Amino acid sequence: MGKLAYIIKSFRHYFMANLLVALGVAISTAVITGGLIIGDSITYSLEQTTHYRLGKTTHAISSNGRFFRQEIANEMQGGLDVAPAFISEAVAVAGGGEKRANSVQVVGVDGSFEKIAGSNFYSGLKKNEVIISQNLAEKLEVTVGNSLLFRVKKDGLVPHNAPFVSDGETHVSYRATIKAIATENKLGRFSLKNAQAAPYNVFMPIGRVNELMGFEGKANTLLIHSELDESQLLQIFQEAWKPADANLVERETGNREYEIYSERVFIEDAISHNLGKVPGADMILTYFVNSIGKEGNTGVKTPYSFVSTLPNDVLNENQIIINQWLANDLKARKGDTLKLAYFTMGPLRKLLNDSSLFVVKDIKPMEGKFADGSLMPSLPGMSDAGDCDEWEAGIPIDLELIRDKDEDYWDTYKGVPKAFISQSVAHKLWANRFGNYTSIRFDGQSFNKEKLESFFGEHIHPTSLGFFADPVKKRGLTAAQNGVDFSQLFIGLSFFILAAAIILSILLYLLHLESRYTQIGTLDTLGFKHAQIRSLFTIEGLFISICGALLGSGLAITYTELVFSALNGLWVDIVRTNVLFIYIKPATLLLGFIISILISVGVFTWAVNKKLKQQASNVQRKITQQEKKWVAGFKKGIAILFLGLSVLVVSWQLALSEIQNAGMFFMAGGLMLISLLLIFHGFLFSNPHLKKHLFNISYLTRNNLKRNRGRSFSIVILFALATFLVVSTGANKQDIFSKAHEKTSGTGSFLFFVKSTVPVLFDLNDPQKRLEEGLPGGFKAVQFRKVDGDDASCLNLNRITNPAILGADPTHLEGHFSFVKGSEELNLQTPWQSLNQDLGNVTPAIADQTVIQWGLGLKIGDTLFYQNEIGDTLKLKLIGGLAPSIFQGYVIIGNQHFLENYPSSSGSSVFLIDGDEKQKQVISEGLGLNFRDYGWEAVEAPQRLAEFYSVTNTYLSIFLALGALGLILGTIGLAVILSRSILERKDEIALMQAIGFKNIQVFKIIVMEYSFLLAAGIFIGLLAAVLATLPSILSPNTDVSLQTILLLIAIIISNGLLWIALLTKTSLNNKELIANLKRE
Amino acid sequence: MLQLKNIVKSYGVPGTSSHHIVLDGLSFQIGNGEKVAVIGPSGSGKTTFLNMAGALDIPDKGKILFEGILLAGYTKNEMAEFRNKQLGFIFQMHHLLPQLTLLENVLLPLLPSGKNRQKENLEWAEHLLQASGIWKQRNQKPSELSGGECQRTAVVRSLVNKPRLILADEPTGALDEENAGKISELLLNLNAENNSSLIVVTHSQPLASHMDKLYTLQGGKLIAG
Repeated sequence: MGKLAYIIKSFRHYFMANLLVALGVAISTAVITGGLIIGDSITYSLEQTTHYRLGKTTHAISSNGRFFRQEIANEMQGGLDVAPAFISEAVAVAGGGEKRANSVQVVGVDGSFEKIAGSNFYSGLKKNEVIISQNLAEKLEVTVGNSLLFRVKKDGLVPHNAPFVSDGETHVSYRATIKAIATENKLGRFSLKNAQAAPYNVFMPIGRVNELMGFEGKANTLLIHSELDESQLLQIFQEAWKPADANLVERETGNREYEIYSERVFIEDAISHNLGKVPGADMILTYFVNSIGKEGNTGVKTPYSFVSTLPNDVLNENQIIINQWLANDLKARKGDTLKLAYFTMGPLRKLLNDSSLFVVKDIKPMEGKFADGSLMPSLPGMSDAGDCDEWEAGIPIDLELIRDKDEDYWDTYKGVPKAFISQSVAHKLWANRFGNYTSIRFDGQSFNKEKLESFFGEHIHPTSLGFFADPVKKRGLTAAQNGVDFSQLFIGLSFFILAAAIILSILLYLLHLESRYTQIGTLDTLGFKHAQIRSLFTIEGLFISICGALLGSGLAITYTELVFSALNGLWVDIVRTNVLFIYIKPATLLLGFIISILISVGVFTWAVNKKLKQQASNVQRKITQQEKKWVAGFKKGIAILFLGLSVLVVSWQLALSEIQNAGMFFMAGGLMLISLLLIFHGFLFSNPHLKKHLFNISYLTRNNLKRNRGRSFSIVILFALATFLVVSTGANKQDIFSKAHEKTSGTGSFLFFVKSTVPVLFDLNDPQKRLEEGLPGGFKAVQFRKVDGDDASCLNLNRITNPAILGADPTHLEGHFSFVKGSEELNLQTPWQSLNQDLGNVTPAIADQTVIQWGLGLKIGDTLFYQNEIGDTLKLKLIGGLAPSIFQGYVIIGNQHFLENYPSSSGSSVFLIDGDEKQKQVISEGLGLNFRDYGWEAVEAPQRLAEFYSVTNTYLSIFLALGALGLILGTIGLAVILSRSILERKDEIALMQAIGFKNIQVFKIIVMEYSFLLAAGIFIGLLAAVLATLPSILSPNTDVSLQTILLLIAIIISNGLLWIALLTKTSLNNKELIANLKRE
Repeated sequence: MLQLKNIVKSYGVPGTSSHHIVLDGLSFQIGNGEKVAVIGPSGSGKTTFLNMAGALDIPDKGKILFEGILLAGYTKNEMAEFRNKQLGFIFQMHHLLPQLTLLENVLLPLLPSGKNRQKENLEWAEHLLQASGIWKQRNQKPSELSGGECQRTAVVRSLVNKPRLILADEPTGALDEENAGKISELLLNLNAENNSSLIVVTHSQPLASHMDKLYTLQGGKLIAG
């Protein structure tokens, strides 16, 4: 007989006992492996979602708010699959307005989209046909053949907030028939954003989208399938790009000049700076002024005129050259001082009145350059106006001021500038964030189209105009792979069930070992070295572990299936997607298998070692070892230290700290738990000093508890842990609504959080505008500019790198919301004002601390990197972390910094609405009605916050549910120990019977013993849990009720007592035991 | 061969009522092939004495020498090796492993030294089983046999390694008179065949009478006769 034979024989002989231990191992394997499989599956599902939403797209080239030639897609070399797309937003309406979906993504595509979709599903889409995504069809309850009305956001080539741009149309309506419904396999989930939730999509012909916008042949995104990297793709893009892609238009003027102007009205600095270097380049800035009049003479003023520029060497800073018509009108002469009154653009199209004085240097006849109508920029709403009263200039035009002679001038000369000032002065007065010049002229002899294109391709890089190649596929897959770690999460959430399973395995194994005590002693006596004994038992333990782990691996799949069915239903709040696949990697099964085996073999070896430390003679004689004095002393010391620390932490937090940190309380609770358990352990090892009058049932019970300290302690640990976790989890749910009216709460005391599909271009607080738009009164709005990005809230499982940015006016937010963390740059007195600081090459930013920590995986002081609209890297330094708020998912920066980086950003699409709570309904309905076609989506602020909290609460529910499973395991542990102990104590019971104890008395003694352990465990767990959740319990805003806690405790106690009574009764009625008793 | 010099062993905490001295300056020696019986009332320390002699316990004071070598100098592993090679143990209870057959139980002491596959050892084990009259039952498990048969197996097991010294703690204590006689006979016969030394702690007068020397353990010391 060899060692292996010995081990196999032992394994077979103790098969039933081994099977029980293996079951414990199986449960822990199921929890560990299940957790790992869940993590893999979520990652795999997110990866699949990335494939579903991108199709074959690997990269996207775009620039914030810019439109370029659709044709460039065909011109790009390098064997790429490129499809132009026009991506916009819309509100979809069905059933005559009964059904409505906001934030619908419009995707204008052409035949080349096949390359991305991988099928011809999108080919042959007619002008009034659309393909909609399945979720939109479900939302609107429509199907193929139905008709839908879309209110598509009206995009313009000119940024909406640029000076003199009409804000007339914000959207255009479009009715179309549904040709098909796109499922996820047909790119129905198409989105360039990293999120597992699918957007509502409508696919329409790109030509039709262009028509709706009044464009021709434009796109705003190139969808690319390529193996090349971003810089290579941008290089190819640059090689193909033409001035028209930067919205430049070239023409020859009547003066044999070659002129470049921009469809965006103002030419960006990145272009003008470079083209200005061409020899002979004449930089022109033509501006629309409200009036020109003689200084001091209030009588005659020439209204609404264009003023252009001349080179600096022609005019001094205060000089002006006027044309003859103006001189006549004003009766102005050389040397007269003229006053130019004009508007400049403030935030949210706020017009600021300004004026400047100039001395007339010369009066020019209406000829040549001074009669050149092409100097007037191409302003939609003005350039094409027949009469002055048709002007749509984006500024208030007082038609009363327009005289017949002004109409005649317009009829004759159109926008011929009436006056000229120096370039440098014009630049100083009217240059704005959209650009510095309205046109650039060159000598037609030396500069032409070919030279422009060559110069353009060589000197102007797409990135300088905000173009960037986004590796969407790589970024998506990285975000999926680094997203919320569900492996850790579920192993963490299953902590108690795992702990209970491991403790149960140890317990069962120790019980099994106890039955083999004498065997260990015999082997020791026979000369087996400890290492040999250990190896025999360890290998046998390995056999048990392998069986348990194999069984557990199967159970893990069932466990995963159960969790996934819950995630698809009850717990959907934490995943928010229906694309969930169970993905089992053999490597994961193996990993879970190995981890479980390592853990179980580890604990088995520990148990064997523990027994081997006892001397062979004692093992033979079943003498249990007394705890060494220094060990007892050490434990006592630790217990006192932890107890002291927990009291200290709680006292400090309650008495001295301004902000009570929930984490500190939880730590204090944990320390208290360990401390009390150690004290109880010490009690089990204490030597009772018998006093005669104290010899009673209670004394007997106490002594019996010490009969097998390990078992007694295990029961206490199990129930202490169960109580601690269940009570502390139950006590952590917070009531969002009771605190919502407070300024410092997560709602900031605002009534509504609003998102609009179409940006609102004006100031909602402007009384004049309110009157014009018919808005209700009684509210105050805080408006935010927005740069689109990924959703970084806890509703998105992906690891986000570029969350959406909000531009805010810090003044409006001061005093609202609470900060939980801040860097040294955060001014604690006026934290929001810190957003206006100039920190050099970084921009201060604030976000929810939960977003920073979990959504972004960063910390305060870290930096987020974006490419801004002007091609630079925008570095956002996180200087403040907010307590959970309605800003989840966004990063907030100051308006000033926002506009520096995104100058063409127009309007607001995120709002906070404040007002009288009683007027809530009126305000909501009034605004909702007015902005119906903007895709106005108002959510009550507490409701929005509650949605985020629903994630936390779902996690707590999962924890409770898995904790309950753990409690069941704990109860099984109790049952096993109880049955075993009663069997082992048959001699003692026989003796008690012999000396006259009645059965009921024996029953009482045993029930008392185990009830004491149960009570001790629950008491320890409860005390620690109360300490851990003290802030929640003490808070007036909590819904933690004493009844809830008592109910939980009552359930745990009843469950424990029921099993104790039932098992004791059953065991005492056991026929074998009675037979034993009789024999004894 | 084995010498115990001035052995002191006590239990409990010194200075408290729980403290009591079991062996108090006990000295003893046994030569090659010698057979010694130790008797004494319950609680006199017979088992403690045997544990000391068998290197299963450590004395508070005194020296234990085997062939002139101090056992206290051995490491745990050396001590285990010593027990395996030089000593054979028989207890009042047989302590056979329930998962093994009789033959396997007998072969068990060969396992630590890896001698379990050596032909001569297997033949020796078979011989012992035959000599003890339990050859037929060799493939049965302890649970299928009587107490006497199990105790015989325990005797055989103690001899399988051909030890120099056998230590028997009440080997017949749990058996009826008939079986006790058989076991005593077996123990003496096999011991004679193996030429081992033998220390028997016993209450059994018949067994004690077959020994070369008889000691009584009293007051923590061994008294001859």
